[in-house]
Amino acid sequence: MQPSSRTIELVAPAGSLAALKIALQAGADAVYLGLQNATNARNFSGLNFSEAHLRSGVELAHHMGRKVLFAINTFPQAGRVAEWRAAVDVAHSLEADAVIIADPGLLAYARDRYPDMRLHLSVQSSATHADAIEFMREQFGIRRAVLPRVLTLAEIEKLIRQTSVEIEVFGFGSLCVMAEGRCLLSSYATGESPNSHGVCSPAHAVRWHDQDGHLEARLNDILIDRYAPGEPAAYPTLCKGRFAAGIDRSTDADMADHALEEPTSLNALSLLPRLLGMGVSALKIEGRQRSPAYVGQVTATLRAALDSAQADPARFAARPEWQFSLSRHAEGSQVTQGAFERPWK
Amino acid sequence: MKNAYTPTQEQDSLPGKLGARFLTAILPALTPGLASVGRRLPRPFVSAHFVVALEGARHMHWLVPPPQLDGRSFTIRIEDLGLCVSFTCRQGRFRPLWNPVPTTDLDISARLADFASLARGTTDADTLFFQRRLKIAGDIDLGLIVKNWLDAMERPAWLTHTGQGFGG
Ligand code: SF4
Repeated sequence: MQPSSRTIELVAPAGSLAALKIALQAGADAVYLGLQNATNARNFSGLNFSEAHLRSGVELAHHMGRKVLFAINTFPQAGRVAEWRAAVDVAHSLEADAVIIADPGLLAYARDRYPDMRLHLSVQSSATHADAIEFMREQFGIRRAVLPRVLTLAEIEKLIRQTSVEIEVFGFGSLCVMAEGRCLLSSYATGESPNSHGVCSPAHAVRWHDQDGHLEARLNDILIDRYAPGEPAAYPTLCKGRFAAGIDRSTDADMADHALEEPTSLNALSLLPRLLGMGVSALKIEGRQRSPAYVGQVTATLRAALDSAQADPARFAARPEWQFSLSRHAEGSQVTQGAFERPWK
Repeated sequence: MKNAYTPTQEQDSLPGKLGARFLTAILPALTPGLASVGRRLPRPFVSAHFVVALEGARHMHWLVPPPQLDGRSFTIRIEDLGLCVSFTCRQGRFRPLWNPVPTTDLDISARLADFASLARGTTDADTLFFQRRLKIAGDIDLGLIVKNWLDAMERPAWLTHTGQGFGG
């Protein structure tokens, strides 16, 4: 048995203090979280942390020797920059271990105001190559970059060799169409998008209608999907909707299909030894909008898998019960290794 | 390393013991019988009893509704029992709807076992939704407030450690 000399930090999502506690109990090395406003990309009603809960969360994490990463990962809107700067001030006053930021102006504010603050470059800033990451390091002193889910393992390995910045990748969770930081799709239907309002498909614009087992999803009254009885449903996002995407030649009828992307969840479980070997610093679990039950079960599963991969990478095998536990929580009827494995690239 | 997190400790209290016993032993045994009578019970009658349970939980500080629920109306349908309850929330208290309107602000349906596992905090609501086991209609923003309020709630220990008896 040959234990790995490297370790990967397991970063779990927390949309509430209850989720934070469960994540830490389940073995997360760090949790990421945000405030109850548009400064973070999961700005859902009733979700996220009040300052009082943040304070208890940070205290608990530090007491257990773990970290809190503070996401301020949307883009400040014209005339409202003060709200985003205030979020950086809160993160600093609560002694968060790092802030996760996408916007260069906000990175500059954090660097100038709090030179000792650890800066992580958010996935929303879409930095996919070493030049972009090194530039952000030179300009703002970023210590870690979260990679968009568009890169293959070979590309990530090469990138790690070319930068001194720590690299964090996603290990599990719902997938976007991989235009992180640039997606404006939902704004065509609702006038709001994740980068401006911190929410994709705002809940006030979503309507579900169940008729005889057929479930219709509407976004601002636009029909974006209709699920047959028993068919797995997905988040009501435009990218995952089914639209008239062609004509069935045998019947001359419109064929409804996924025009952009089929709902799918990323699952990098079986790739852990390779991620470890190439020097990935942190593995992130998507899903601050999910319940503490999801956070606990997914974190515990990835904790067990990571420990096993670190103990003996050469003999690591993804156990069926781990796969079962993760696939139960997947959005859509399939899981994928996403862009990590693209033999044609 | 000291773990500072412990669930709230009502496990040994009398209501805790009664609640645990009700969830683990009594309710599963009653389920088939309830299903046969459930469809025949008038909605206001069922709602009144359900609200008594909600108010009991509120008095025990297990269920303190956030201000955003004030003035809003809710329907909960327990599909396998054929039960349907309608209630509202006024000034922080739950009240049955005696004359249920055809559509309330929020309408949630699931089977008893799934509702129970949500109440215990052992299942993720989105997971149930993806699997079409949880249905939600009406004001989805209100639905998110309710979901996130329940998620953020600290469960009494008896609720999280018991109640595995009916397949949740
Ligand atoms: S529309 Fe789809 S791709 Fe765009 S942000 Fe939303 S989930 Fe991601």
